[in-house]
Amino acid sequence: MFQYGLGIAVAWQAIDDIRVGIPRVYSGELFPWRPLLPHDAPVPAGAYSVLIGLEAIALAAYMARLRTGAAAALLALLLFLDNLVSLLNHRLLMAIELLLLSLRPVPGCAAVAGFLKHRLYWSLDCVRWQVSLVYLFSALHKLSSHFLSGEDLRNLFWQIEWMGWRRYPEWLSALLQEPSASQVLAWLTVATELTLAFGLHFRAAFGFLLPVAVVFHLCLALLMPFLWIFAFLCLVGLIAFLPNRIEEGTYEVHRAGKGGVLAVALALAWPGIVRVVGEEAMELGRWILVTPTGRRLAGYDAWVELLSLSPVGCLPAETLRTAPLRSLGGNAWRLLGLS
Amino acid sequence: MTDRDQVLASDGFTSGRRLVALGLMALGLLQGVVGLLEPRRFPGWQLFRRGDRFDYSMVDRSGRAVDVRDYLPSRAYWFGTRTIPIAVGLWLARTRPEMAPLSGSLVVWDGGVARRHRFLITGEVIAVDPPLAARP
Repeated sequence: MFQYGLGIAVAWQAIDDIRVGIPRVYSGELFPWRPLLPHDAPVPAGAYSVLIGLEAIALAAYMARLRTGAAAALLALLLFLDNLVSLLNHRLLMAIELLLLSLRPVPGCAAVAGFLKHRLYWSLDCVRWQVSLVYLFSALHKLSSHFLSGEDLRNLFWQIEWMGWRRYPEWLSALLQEPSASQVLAWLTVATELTLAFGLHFRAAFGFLLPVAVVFHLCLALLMPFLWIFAFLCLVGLIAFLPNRIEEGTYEVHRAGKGGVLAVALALAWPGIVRVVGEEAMELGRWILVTPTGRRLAGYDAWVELLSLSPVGCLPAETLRTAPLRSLGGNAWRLLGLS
Repeated sequence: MTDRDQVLASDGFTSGRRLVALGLMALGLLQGVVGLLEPRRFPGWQLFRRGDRFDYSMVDRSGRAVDVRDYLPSRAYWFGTRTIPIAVGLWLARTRPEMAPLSGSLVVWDGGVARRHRFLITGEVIAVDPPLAARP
C-alpha cells in the first residue's frame, strides 16, 4: 500500500513539474531557482525529455511490480538527478524513500517462513526513520526567534496573497497577519512536528496522533497551495507506521438473510480478501465478520476491521480503534441497535 | 539451509542489503545535521521555515520593467529568499546580455522596519547600496 502511494506521489510530482514549467528550467528559458549545480553549469539539450521518459518507464515497472527493487532504485536515481537542477524537498524525500524501498522489494513467500509477514518488511523501518528525521529536522530548523515570533509565517502568508496564489477570506487574512495568532501557529507547528517525530513510533499513541498529522498536513496544504504533494507524501508515509493487523487468509462476512448489505458491498470490493457466507443460525438481518484466525466480530468492531482492510480506510480505522472512540462507538452502536 | 533461512536470505534479511540500509539511515541523519549547521550551502529539511517580506522594482537596459515571475517556474517556492530578484537579474545579465545592465531597488521588511536597497547589475558585477545584511 505504501509502495503504491509512493508511486502515485511520484507521478503527481512529475505531472506538476511539467505544469509549473520545470522543463523550461532545463532549456534555459526559466531561472533555476534552487539548483544544486552552479547556475551556469551546462545541461545537455533534451536532458529533461530523457529524464522524464526514463522516469515514466521506471515508474510503470515499479507500479506493475516488475523487478520492483531495480525499478525503485532507478527511479530514485532519476529523482536525485532532477534535484541537481531544481531541488524540491518533495522530490528529495521521494527519492530517499524509493531508495530505501529498493533494498527490500516485495516479499517472496513469507508464509513458508512461518512467522509474521511484517517482520520481513524491514525496509519500512528505514522509511519510518526517514519520516521521523524530516519531522525532527524541520522542527529544529524552526527553532529561531524569527520563526517562533510568527514573523516568518506572517511573511509567507503575505507573499502567498501578494503573488495571487491564494486569496484567503478577509477574516482569515486578518487573523494570519495578527502577531499573536501567527505566533501561536508557529509554536503549534514546531510542537506538532516534534511530537510526530517521536510519537508516531509508539503503537499506543499512533491512533491518537494520526488525526493530528492529517489535520496538520491538510491545514498546511490549504494555507500553502504548493504543499499538496508534500502533504500527500507525508500521509502516505504514515502508512509505514501502521501496525500490521491484517491476518493471513480470507475474512468472511457471515450474514442472515439480507443483513449487512453495506458490509457485503464493501466485502465485494475486496475480492480474494473477504468472502460472503450465508448463516442460518443468526438473527435475520444481522451479520458478523469472521477473521482468518477465527475471531468473530460484530457491530462497531466488525465495521472497523472491515474498514482496515481497504487502502483508503486503513488509516482512519486505526484511529477508530483507539480506546475512547472504540468505547464510544461500541456503546452508540448498541444503543442505536445497529448491526 | 531450512525453508525459513532460505526466505530470510532471499528477502535480503541476512545479506549486505541490511548493512546498506543502515548506511543510508546514517547518511540521512548526517544530511539532516549538516543541513541544520549549514542551511545556506546544504539542502536540509527546512520546510517553510523562512518567509521574507520584500518588494522590488527592476528595469533592463532599455528601461523596460522586469518582472522576475516571468523567469521563474509558476508556483516555484522562492519567497523565502529576498535576494531572488537580484539573483534573477544576475542570471538575466549573463544569459541575455542584451538586457544588461539591470537596475532597480529592493525593499526588505525586517521586524516591521522597511529598508530600501538600490542595485545595479552589469554582467558579472552586482552593486547593492547599502549592502544587504545576512538574515539570521
